[in-house]
Amino acid sequence: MHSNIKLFWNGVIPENPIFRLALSMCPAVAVTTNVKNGLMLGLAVVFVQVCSSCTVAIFRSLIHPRIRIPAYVLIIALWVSVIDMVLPVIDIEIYKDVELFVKLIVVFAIIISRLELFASKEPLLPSFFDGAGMGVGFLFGLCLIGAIRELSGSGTILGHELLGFRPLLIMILPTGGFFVIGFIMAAFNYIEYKLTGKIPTSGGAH
Amino acid sequence: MKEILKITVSLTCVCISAALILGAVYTQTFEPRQRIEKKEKQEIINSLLGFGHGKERPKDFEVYPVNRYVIEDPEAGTLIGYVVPLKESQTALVRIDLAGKPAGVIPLKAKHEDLLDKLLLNSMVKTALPKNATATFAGTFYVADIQGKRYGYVLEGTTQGFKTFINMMVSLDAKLTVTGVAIVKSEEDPGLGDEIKQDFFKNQFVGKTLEMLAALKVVKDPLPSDYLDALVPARAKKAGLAPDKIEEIRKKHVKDDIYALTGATISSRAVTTGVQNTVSKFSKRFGILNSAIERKNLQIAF
Amino acid sequence: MSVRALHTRVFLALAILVLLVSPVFADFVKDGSFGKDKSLVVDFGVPVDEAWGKDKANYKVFEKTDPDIVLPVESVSLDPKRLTAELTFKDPLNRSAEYVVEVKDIMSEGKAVGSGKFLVKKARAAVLFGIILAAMLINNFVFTKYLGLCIFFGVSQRKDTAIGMGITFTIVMCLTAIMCWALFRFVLEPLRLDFLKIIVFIGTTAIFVQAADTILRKVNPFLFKRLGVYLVLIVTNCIILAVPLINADSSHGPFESLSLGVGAGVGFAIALFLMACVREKLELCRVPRTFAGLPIAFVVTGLFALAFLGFSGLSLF
Repeated sequence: MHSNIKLFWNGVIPENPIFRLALSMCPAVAVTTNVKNGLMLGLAVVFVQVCSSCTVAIFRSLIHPRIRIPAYVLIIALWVSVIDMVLPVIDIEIYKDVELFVKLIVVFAIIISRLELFASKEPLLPSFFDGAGMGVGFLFGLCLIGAIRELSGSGTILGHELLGFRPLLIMILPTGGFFVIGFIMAAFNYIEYKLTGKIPTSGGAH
Repeated sequence: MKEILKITVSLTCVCISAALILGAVYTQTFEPRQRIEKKEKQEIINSLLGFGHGKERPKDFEVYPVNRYVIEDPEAGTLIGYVVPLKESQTALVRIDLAGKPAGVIPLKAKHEDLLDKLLLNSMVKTALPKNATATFAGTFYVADIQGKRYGYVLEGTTQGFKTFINMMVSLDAKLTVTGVAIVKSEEDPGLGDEIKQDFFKNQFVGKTLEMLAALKVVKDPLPSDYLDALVPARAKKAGLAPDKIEEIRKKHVKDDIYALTGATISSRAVTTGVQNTVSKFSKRFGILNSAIERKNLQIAF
Repeated sequence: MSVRALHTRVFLALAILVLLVSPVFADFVKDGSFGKDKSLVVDFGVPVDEAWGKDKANYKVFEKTDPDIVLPVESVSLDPKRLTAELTFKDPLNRSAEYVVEVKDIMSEGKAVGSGKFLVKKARAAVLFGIILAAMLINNFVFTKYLGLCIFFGVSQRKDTAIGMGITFTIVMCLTAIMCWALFRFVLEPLRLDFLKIIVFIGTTAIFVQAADTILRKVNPFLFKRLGVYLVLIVTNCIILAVPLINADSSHGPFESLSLGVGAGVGFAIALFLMACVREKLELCRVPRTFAGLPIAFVVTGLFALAFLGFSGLSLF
């Protein structure tokens, strides 16, 4: 059980998909103009990641190695289509804001890379925790960026007025998203440097 | 060879099972999704008419949709068809020629509740028309009644925004004065053009009559602060403005032009022309439709 | 392959291209056009009588979708040869709409030569060019829609890889856009299977990329060596899925779909090239150690996004 929790934690901070592995950056910039959108897309990603990881882990012996990539893509597309149909039933307002990106979860590199690197080799339970960890890490990243941008851009958090004015309008423009991610990444590097004395090389970024 | 067969079979299995699961989810979620979309529209209409969140709708409050079709009939030429609700849950297609004269009424099989189902209505209109005529859906407006008395109208309109189209709804009272504007769908820049959804912009249209709208312009002056307080309910509450005081300030500014959003003049102008066009077209059409209904002596529901 | 055979092939390919594109240019021959801001110009083809031509009552103008709302003509002016008439209106016209001008009993040299109907709309080529331009600059997929970032950061380290990726991507993007359009229009829509579109589009793309990979390896090993590496990467690029989805949602026709594909591809290539230029220079700079690599790349992209914001609102036609 302990190792499973470690797997989960690993995905949240030490191998955070956005800031550490630098995978699936597109939604990290696009939907994070406020916390709510980030939260919704993050939950969708957690769902897709956990479901696909489990599916692959269960059927891993049946999937022929030569067709594994198309098979993974199909499995991901299946769960994405499911969430794409279920989400509007839950909350149509937010769905409208994240609609395109929910569909694009199919091509999020983070999901397929977890399937390839982890779920295709490990049994169900570890795969579940790995998928959940990565998903939650992604969710955490989206919410962090969303919170910074919403607070500095519109002076609110989750729609509640906090500051009463708008300090930096640029933060909710496209530009702001890139800046915030760049600075958070640098901050992660800095913390790591203070703790361990060396700067890790950033992920492969694709 | 054997391997290829194996690969093909397993891939096919994956595809088929995926398609089956998707089909099942689709059929399960289709109903509620449609219901939610319908409900959302209903809520926008209600809140535009002043019966939004928490405010009870009065008894005998009815909203009737009227759908407009452009009919191309090889014999009669181009006609405009309105699907209007009649008394006792009947409906009829009123055809009007381009000069504004009525050109026949066809009773439809649709009930009142079918009027919101666009696909169903399209097919019903098509079957009611002569075989070689075509009908294209052109728009909807809603008529609201309270206890048999005309309460107001809600119109749907689109306009070319900064990036894509802006879909909006405009509500009018019985005298065709604007009572509210709602932005239904838009993709303007967040923080700039997206502010068209905010109360301090939308509510500037409230109280504009038909004549005021026709001469309405967009100015780049800053919004006067007392007007801003009166436009946004939350700010009015903070400033301690009484309802009659709000009314007074709004009345003082009702003849003002629209104050453009900072950094988003194009979006502001787009919404303004959108409101102008939607209302002016509606007033023309509704006059024609009313006279046609009178001349044909139809028992309409509203 | 001999040079002559290559020439024939190139010629054939060009001929097919011209055939495909010809309907777009045929549209240039149209009977009416937009004048300045508030006016429409119609071309009669025969000199019309001055008294008839200047009479506002002879013209009936309306938007094609609203035949019941007639736009009042404010004034009419004829050109010196009396071949064309310019109708001026009170309000500015909507240039993305289609207008119909109906003229009754055209009088030429004292005789009536019948009535006419003119359709005034933006030229098809202008619409398509507008789509390309919009996808390329105004709504650049990388800088304003934030798509394809993974590959964007992955392959923008060197200029030559950026160019290779840009070209490969543009070609694949065009072909995928047109194929997905055909699939959606002729298979998914008639069968009312639109809920399968994600799975079908991504499947199509994956199959297409795989096929291109295999074919290129056999047919042109030299090209494969240059582009093969990028081909596989393309499947994980969001843009390749976003373009067919946008096409399907806004019910684009074949040419519009192709234009969006071209625009997206070229826009992506431009973004890659610009970024590669900066990153090559960045390697020689003294960047703070915590910012080295990706963090500084993000900040630079942010600056690019800011610059591309300047394109928004741009319209040429």
